[in-house]
Amino acid sequence: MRKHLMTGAVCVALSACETGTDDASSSSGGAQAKGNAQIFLEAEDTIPEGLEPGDGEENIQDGWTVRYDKFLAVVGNFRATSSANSQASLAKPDVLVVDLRSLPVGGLVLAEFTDVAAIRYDRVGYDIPNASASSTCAPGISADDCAMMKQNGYSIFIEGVISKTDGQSCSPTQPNQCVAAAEVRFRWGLAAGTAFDDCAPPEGDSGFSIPTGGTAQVKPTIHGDHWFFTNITQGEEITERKAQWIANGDLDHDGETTLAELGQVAASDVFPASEGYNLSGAIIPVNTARDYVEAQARTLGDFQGEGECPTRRILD
Amino acid sequence: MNTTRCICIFLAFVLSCGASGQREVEYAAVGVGRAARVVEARGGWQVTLEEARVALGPVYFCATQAASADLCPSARAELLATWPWDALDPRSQHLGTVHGVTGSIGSAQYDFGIVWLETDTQPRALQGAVDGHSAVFRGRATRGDRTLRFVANIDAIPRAQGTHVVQGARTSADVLDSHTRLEVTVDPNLWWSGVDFDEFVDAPADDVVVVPADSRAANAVLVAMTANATPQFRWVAP
Repeated sequence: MRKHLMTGAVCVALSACETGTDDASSSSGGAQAKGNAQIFLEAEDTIPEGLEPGDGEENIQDGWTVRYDKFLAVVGNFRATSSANSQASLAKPDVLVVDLRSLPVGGLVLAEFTDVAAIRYDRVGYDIPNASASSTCAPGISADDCAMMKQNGYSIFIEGVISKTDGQSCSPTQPNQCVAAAEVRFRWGLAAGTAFDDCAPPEGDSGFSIPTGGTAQVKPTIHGDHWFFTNITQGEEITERKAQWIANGDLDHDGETTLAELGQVAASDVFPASEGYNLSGAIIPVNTARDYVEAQARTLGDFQGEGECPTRRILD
Repeated sequence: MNTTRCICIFLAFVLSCGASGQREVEYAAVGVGRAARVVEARGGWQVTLEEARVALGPVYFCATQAASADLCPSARAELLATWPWDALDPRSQHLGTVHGVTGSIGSAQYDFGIVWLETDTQPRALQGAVDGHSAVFRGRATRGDRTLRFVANIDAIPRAQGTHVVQGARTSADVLDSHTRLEVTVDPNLWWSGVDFDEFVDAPADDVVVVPADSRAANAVLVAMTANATPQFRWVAP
């Protein structure tokens, strides 16, 4: 363990050496090595494209197809600091209400930092906060959707459908009592404000580096499939994806599973360990299926595609 | 690159490590249960446990708040011993010795006596498991004039090779030296509050219900053990 610590210290030290600076800040001038950073918001492919049934890693394992009609999120308060240099800090406190299915071509710029210290920023985070009156409507979101998010204080709103030709909706407490359900709709808004920190790309060290004289492209990434996971992932997404629980949550069999219905469903009734579910590691208690949706909504903030931001904190 | 500057920075880090560096520590771990009491379960059932034996371990404590195999490849401290202990006994029961280094702890990942290590082809019960299980319970559930007596063997099995059945359990401590003691508290009564005994209401009156491993009741206990009423870790003065 001590060896790990020392190795880390050496890496940090050498990282500072590589950039030739150890005292830069986002606004300082002088002869320090400088560069730029562009922070783009990215939506995982599952948001515009949905998820297909199948046996592949990214497929829904229990035969359901998922399509989103709407996927709104509140994103902002990007920040980055350097462990090796307490003076170096990048911050953009702005918060945007975003339609993740209508991101501008080329991506949505969350922040731009120009002429800043060209070093490694190893401590990176951002928020998916609850919308407020001071949140800004991003390009691409309708005025009505943005107003709805602000009015309800949502951090996330999703609307869509799961479908399966021979699909069934089964009673959570009496699993043998089922009715046909080829399509089940959902329309869920959640005030699940969460801060995400210690972001790291899929490979390599945490954070990002700004090259001297160049521009780093940094992509906070919102994932769209976590409520289909069979566990609360902490780092690498070692999981399966299933959707039967949503169909089973349609208690009145009207073709739509509401959050109110999910609030009546015990999590232990629809997430059995025998089907691979494990509910440990959530930052809220998971007593109901609605809690599970919220717990997973608090994990959606990822980084540089499949990278993770494993330190999660509830925001009021 | 300024070589002199580089060497200075490197040495500063090295010296910093030496001055405030981690030291190896070891200290005792004890388990503290909760005495049996009547708890309200689903459907108006009242549950009273008569026996609750639990195997906790191994436990790995990590510096990060989120812990998994990739985020916490080396633990800051670990309790490798696994013993069956009486979770209805509120007195301290020796669980073993924690080995580790000084420093802050942000989370725990652990098993309940059944592990699935990277080197194992399938999950296996440790010697310290409770008769080969994670936990063994006996008790009764009452609603009105109906009483169900039950026994349950619960197996908390890691869902994948190289993982633990509980990952990323938040805990917080700053271990300065060996002058401390780890106190692990569990309340097995709470583990039964999410059980719906209507699942067994048709059982013959005089029978003892053996809770099936694939039942909703067993899953409710598992969810409580691993997610909603998990063991609490506290570092206290010895």
